[in-house]
Amino acid sequence: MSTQTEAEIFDRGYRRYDGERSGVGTAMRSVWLNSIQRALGLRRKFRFKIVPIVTILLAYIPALAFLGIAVILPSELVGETVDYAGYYGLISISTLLLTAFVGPELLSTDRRTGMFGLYMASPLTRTHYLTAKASALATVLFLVTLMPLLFLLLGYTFVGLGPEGFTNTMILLGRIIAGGLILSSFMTLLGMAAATLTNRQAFASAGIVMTLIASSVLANVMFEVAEVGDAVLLADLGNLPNDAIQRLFKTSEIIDVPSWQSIGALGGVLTLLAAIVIWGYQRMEVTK
Amino acid sequence: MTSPSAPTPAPPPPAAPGSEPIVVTNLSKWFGDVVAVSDISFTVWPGVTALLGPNGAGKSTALRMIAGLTPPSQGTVSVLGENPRRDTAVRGRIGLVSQEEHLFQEQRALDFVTLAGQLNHLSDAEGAARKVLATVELDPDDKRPIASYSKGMRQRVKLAQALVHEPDVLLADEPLTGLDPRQRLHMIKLIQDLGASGVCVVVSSHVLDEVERLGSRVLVIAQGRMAAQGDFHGIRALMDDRPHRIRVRASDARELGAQLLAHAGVRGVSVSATDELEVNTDDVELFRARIASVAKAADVRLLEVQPLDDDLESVFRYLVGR
Repeated sequence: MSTQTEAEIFDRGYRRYDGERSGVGTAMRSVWLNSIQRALGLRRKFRFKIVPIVTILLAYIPALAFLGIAVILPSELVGETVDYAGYYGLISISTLLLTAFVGPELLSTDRRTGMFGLYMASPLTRTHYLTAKASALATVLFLVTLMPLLFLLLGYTFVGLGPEGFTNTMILLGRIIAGGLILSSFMTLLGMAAATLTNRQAFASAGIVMTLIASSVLANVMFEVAEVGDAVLLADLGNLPNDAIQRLFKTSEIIDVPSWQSIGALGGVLTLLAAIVIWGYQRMEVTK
Repeated sequence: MTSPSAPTPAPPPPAAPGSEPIVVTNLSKWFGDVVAVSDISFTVWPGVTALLGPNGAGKSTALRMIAGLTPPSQGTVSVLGENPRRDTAVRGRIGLVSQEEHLFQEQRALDFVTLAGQLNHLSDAEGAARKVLATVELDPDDKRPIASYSKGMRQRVKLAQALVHEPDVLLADEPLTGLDPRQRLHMIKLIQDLGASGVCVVVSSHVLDEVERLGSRVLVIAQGRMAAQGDFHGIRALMDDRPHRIRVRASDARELGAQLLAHAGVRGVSVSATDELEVNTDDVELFRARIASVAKAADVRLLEVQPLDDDLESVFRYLVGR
C-alpha cells in the first residue's frame, strides 16, 4: 500500500504570460506614478524625503498662519488681509526649491542610471515618456502651487470669510486652478529644460536657480541703466508667470506692459523651454 | 577525436523564408570619429545565438541598435519584420537585459519588474512579475532594495524585467556576469529553454566558455567588424589556413612524428615525451584520414589523439588576431 504525501514539484522553467494586455496609457501612468513616488521620496530612505517634505510644508505655513489669524481676530479685520493673488509670492521659494530638486531628479537620474534606456526599450515613445514625466513634475508642483491656495479657500469658507455666493466661489476656484496651472507649467518646463541639458543633477539644479537670478538681474539692470522701457522686465523669468497670475486675479500687475505683451512673453518662454526639452530628447542617443 | 567543449543544445529547426526574427544589413555606427560598428550583416533565427567579442568590440552598440535604442549611422535593422526604431509596437516584443547596474537601486525587485511589465502593457503586471522572479530563483516578497542584492541577484532581476512580458526576441548583454557557478548553470538552462521554446535569444559575451555552453551558433565581432558567423564547429572547419594543434600519445612518439611529417600534411612536430608529441597541421582532414595508416605502417601503437584548440578560445584568438 502506497503512502500519499502532500508533496508537489513545481515547474520552474520559462512560462509565458497569458493575462490581458493594456494600452500605452497604463504604461504612461506607471511612469507618472513611479516618478511622483521617486520625487517625493516614497519607498525610499528618509533622507530622500526631507527636501520634498520641508519645501511642501513651507508652502502651507502662511496658509495655516492666515487661518489661525482668521479664527482669532474679528472677521472685519481679517477680511482686509485676504489676498489670494499675493499668496503666490509667499510660495515662490518653495516652488523654486521643489523644481530645482525634483526636475533633475526625474530626468537626469534616468539618463545617468540607464533607466532611460529601459523605458525606451519598451513600447513607450520619447513623447510618451516626456509627457508622463512632465505630468509627474507638474503634479508634485501642484502640492505647492495649487493645494495651499485651495486649503486657504476651504479654510476661509469654513470661518465665513470665503467668497460670497456660488458664482464668486467658482470664479475664485477657477482663478486658483488657472494660477496653479500657469506657475506649475512654467516651473515644470524650466526644470525639464535644465535637466535635459545635463546628466548631472547638481548642475541642473544650480542652472534652474541661476537662470532665474541672472534673468532678474539682467532685466532690472537694463531697465535701470539702459532705460529701454518696462517691456524689458518681461525678461525677468521669475516674475513672468507671477505677472500673468496677478492679471488673472485682476490685481495690480507686476510689469507695467499691456496684457497681450505679458501673456505673449510667457507663451514664448514656455514654447522655448518646451522646444529645448523636445529637441534635446529627439537628438539624444541612448548609450546606456 | 572528440571535442572538449560542453554539450550544446541542438540548433533550432530552420525558419521559413522571410520569418527571420532579426535581420541586420550593412549596419554601421560611429560616434564622432570613433567607429563602434562597421558594416556588419547577419540574420538570427529562433533559438540561442551568441554574440561574441572582446570588450569594446561593438557588441553592446549592436544590441542597442537591434533594440531600437540607438539609430544606425548606416544600414538597417529589422526585428520581426519591423524597424524597431520606428515601430514602438515591436519593441513590446523585445526584451533587453542591459549591462547597467544602477537601475532603480532603491526599489524592490518586485516593484521594478512590475514596472517593466506595466511599461509593456501587461494588465496583471504584478502577477507576471511574481512568476518571472520565481523563474529566475528570486523571492518576489523580498522587501530589500535591489541595491542590497549581490551582483548575481541583480543580474537575475534584470533578466526578469526583460522576460516579464514574454518577448519573442530577447537581447541579453553579458547576462552571466557575476553569477556563481550554480546560478550560471541555472541561467544557461533558462536561456536554452527560452531558445528551445522558440524565443529568439541573442546573448553577448566576451567569456568564451559561456558562449560555448549557451549555443552552437556564434556571431563573432572584433573591432566593430563581423569576424565570423555560423556554427562554432563550422567556423572552425572553414578556417583551413589556420594551424591546428593536436596532441598524440603513441608507443614511439619520435618515430611516429617523423612519419607524420613525411606523409600526413604535418607542418611541425614537437616531441614532449617518449610517448607524447604535439602536431601542427594546416590540413586537419588529411591528418585525420592518414594518422592511423601512418602509425600502422611505422609499427607504432596509437594511444590517444587529442585536439588542443578545438575550443572557442582558440577560434576567437585566431579570429581577433588575424
